[in-house]
Amino acid sequence: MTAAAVYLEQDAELMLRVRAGDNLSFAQLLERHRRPVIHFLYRMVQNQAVSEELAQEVFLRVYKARATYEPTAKFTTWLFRIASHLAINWLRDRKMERLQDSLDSPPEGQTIQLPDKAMTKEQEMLHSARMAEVRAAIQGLPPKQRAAVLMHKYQEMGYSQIAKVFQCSESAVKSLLFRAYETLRARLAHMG
Amino acid sequence: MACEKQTDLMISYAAGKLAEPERIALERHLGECETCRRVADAQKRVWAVLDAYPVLAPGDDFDRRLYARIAEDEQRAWWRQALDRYFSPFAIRSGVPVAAACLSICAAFVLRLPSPPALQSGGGHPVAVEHRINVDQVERALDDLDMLKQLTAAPVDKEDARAPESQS
Repeated sequence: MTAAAVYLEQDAELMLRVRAGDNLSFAQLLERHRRPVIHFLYRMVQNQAVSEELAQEVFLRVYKARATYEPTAKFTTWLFRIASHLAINWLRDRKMERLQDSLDSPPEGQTIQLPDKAMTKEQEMLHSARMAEVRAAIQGLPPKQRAAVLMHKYQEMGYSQIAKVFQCSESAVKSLLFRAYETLRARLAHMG
Repeated sequence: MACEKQTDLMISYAAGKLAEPERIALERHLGECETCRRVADAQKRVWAVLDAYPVLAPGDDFDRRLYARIAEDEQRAWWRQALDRYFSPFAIRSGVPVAAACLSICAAFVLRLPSPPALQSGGGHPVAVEHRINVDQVERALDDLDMLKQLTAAPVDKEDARAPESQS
């Protein structure tokens, strides 16, 4: 059995213990998945306050659903299904409310990786410009394509797991990623 | 445009997730196909550039706020949770189209109800109908009166005519 498989089984085991009323196991699950979920949501919505609020909602839903939890799928599949659902809905609602928003405007409530202190002013500006370009390219993707790329690139999920998150076919996920990466190649390939 | 069947392979190739035999086969293809080679290079560059996409460190009080929310949620009475579920802004927002549909159905039902007899026979002008019926009745009554006058007029005339004779 691989280390990843053991890790995943531990998640299911912990969740079953949460179901039995063990709150320490919930704290362990939170410790393991807090960062990936917040990173995913922040990259989805580009807003610190909103991403933390949505992450809290994700874990609150996990806790509330503990009584009915069955380890039929990977815990992370379930976790990211809740997270992507919340993020896509938030983006859809926000699009309806604020159609006039510019994609290139800096993200709200930004607390992100700071450039290396050894960087010169010029390097710092270049780094910021690159980040802004990457952010704009990702934000230009439709929400579902964006979620698929983020799970594929940063959570290292395969087509099969992303398909389970979206509850669709693997070929639909391949098509989503194909279109998303095609857009990103057109916007970002010159930066490499 | 890259060879279609190779594109998803190139995404996995750039991510370094391709199994050895597939990777060797793809690299052989890339050696022969200029278009696919360009796509694979571009995909590799995008993959590297995406590493610069910023992340966010969770706030210090993330766990404390989460546990406070959980405690608050658990303390709520069941009826309070039900109220929140059905009267939350989202539920109200999604209930608006349903309410509008119900109103439309009610309106259609009311409009299709059979009208009262006075309205039906008068075409919306009940006063005019009553008036026409009264005129007919009055005319008939006048005719009847005329006939009665004619009938009663003859004996009176005879008596009038006889009276002078008797007087005379």
